[in-house]
This record gives sequence, C-alpha cells and structure tokens, in this order.
Amino acid sequence: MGQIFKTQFRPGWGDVDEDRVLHSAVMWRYFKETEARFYRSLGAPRGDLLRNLDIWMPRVETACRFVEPIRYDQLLDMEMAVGDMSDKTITYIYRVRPPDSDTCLALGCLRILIVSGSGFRPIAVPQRLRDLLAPYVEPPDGAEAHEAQSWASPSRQSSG
Amino acid sequence: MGKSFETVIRVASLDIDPAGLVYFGAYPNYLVRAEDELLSTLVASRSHFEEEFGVKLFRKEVRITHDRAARFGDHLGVSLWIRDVCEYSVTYSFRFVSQATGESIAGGSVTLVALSRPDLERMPLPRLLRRRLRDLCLV
Repeated sequence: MGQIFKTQFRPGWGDVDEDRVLHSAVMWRYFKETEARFYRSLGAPRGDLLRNLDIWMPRVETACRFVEPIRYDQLLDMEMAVGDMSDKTITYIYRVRPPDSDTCLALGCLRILIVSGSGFRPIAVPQRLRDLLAPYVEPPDGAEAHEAQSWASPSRQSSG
Repeated sequence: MGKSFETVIRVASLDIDPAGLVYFGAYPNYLVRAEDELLSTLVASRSHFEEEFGVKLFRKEVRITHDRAARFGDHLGVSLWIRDVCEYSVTYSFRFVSQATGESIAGGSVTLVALSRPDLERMPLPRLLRRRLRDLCLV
C-alpha cells in the first residue's frame, strides 16, 4: 500500500457562490496547492524541482467529480496519492472528505506530462522525481480510493 | 450531433502561469463563463432562472483534456454541444480552439445536476430548460 499525502482546506468567502457552495473551479486551485504542499513536504519545492531538473509539468488531463456540494467554511481533508507513473506521465489522484469521516465529497485527478525546460518536448520522468514519488505511487486501500484509482484516467473513460 | 453553442474567450494576463501559458485551472472558469452565456440564450440569465425555478445547476463532473497551450491575448473559440439531457442532469461536451491557428487547445465534458434551493437536494431539471436543451440536442 502506498503512502498518501494529507492536507486541509477551508473554503473562504471568495471561494463560494451565492448558495455558499464551493465554485467548482476552485477545486482545481486546491489540487494545485495540494501538489505544491506535497512537494514542499518532501523537501523539494516544486519551483526548485522544475528549475533543477530543467523541466515543465504541463497538465494533459484534469478531472473532478463532485459527490456532494462543499460549503463555505467547511473544513476539508484533501488526500493525494500518485495513481500512476508511466514513462513520461504522472497521474495524481485526490480525494476530499470531511475530517474524521469516510464520506467522500469529491474525487479528482491530474495527469501531467513531463517536458524539457528548453524545448517543451516530452521526456522521461527524471529519476530524481521517480525516487521522490515512489512511496506514493500505489493508492491506499479503501473502496473510494479504489474508485478514484479506476476513475483517474479521463481518457479511458471518455473513449467509451 | 446537435447544434453547438459558440462563444469566444480572450485570455487575460491573470490566467497566465510562470511558464507564460494559460494556467490549467483557468479552463474550468472559462467553461462556467461559456455555460452562463449558453443558459442566457435559453432561459434568460442563470441567476434569474435559478431563482425563479428554485434550482441550482450543480457541476457534478468536469473532465478536461489539454491538447496545446494557449497564451496571453489568445482568442479561444469555445464550442459546447449538449450530449445528453436526462430528468435530473445534462451532459455537454466542449472544445476550445485557437482562433488564430484553428488548432484544438482543450476539450472534454461537463455534467450538471439539478439541486433544489436552498436545501440542495436532488430535483428534476425544470421542464422548460429540459425542453430547450433537448431542442439543442436534436437540431
């Protein structure tokens, strides 16, 4: 079983609509911020990583499934794991739930392509990055985590 | 395939990331803007409609595939196609295309479900909206 990275968010006034429900687009910001906190927790801030490895990490697929509306000021546990790592791509999977609860509020995934810093051409995931992510590659146990894993490839889903 | 709804979005500087490209999180915002415009052609403004019918169109699922990067100042043509209208939900597909080159920038799909206001319980899509969305589907 792989490790999962956990962090928390609390939707602020500017994150919600007139019904005090999270604007769906804000979740993409939370995903990105979670990724930033994740790399920081590994001692390798993302900006440094991009510079040192001379890479960019453009997103090639992103998706989010909202199971329930998320409300203003609701404390959220955000879990992140690496669902898949191929030669040139990395897929993060996310699960959002209330603290101390198994209720899933949202599932998400971001698939990232590794490209060279200079030519923006796809390249293999650098070994340094592979080593950093290795403990997080297999998703944790649990039905929703399994669902997130199986759901994490939008391209497979949308081709059906 | 049904008739598509078309609009144009101009990339603003605040949508740009340190690589000089449109931040991936900008696309869900662009979709909301395009969706609001589509609804305004079908049922007046989104907020007026939601208030009148006591309904909230809740974004249940969003999937985006990114083909190419867009940059500051680019004009992106946005096309939305209504794919499926059910009693409780509507799913549409979309595509962003560079108006300068005609190349696909991104595409994907969105599913909206109807929730009642203010309790946010599942409810059927208002008949008026369902009918107009189905008209778009079949044209």
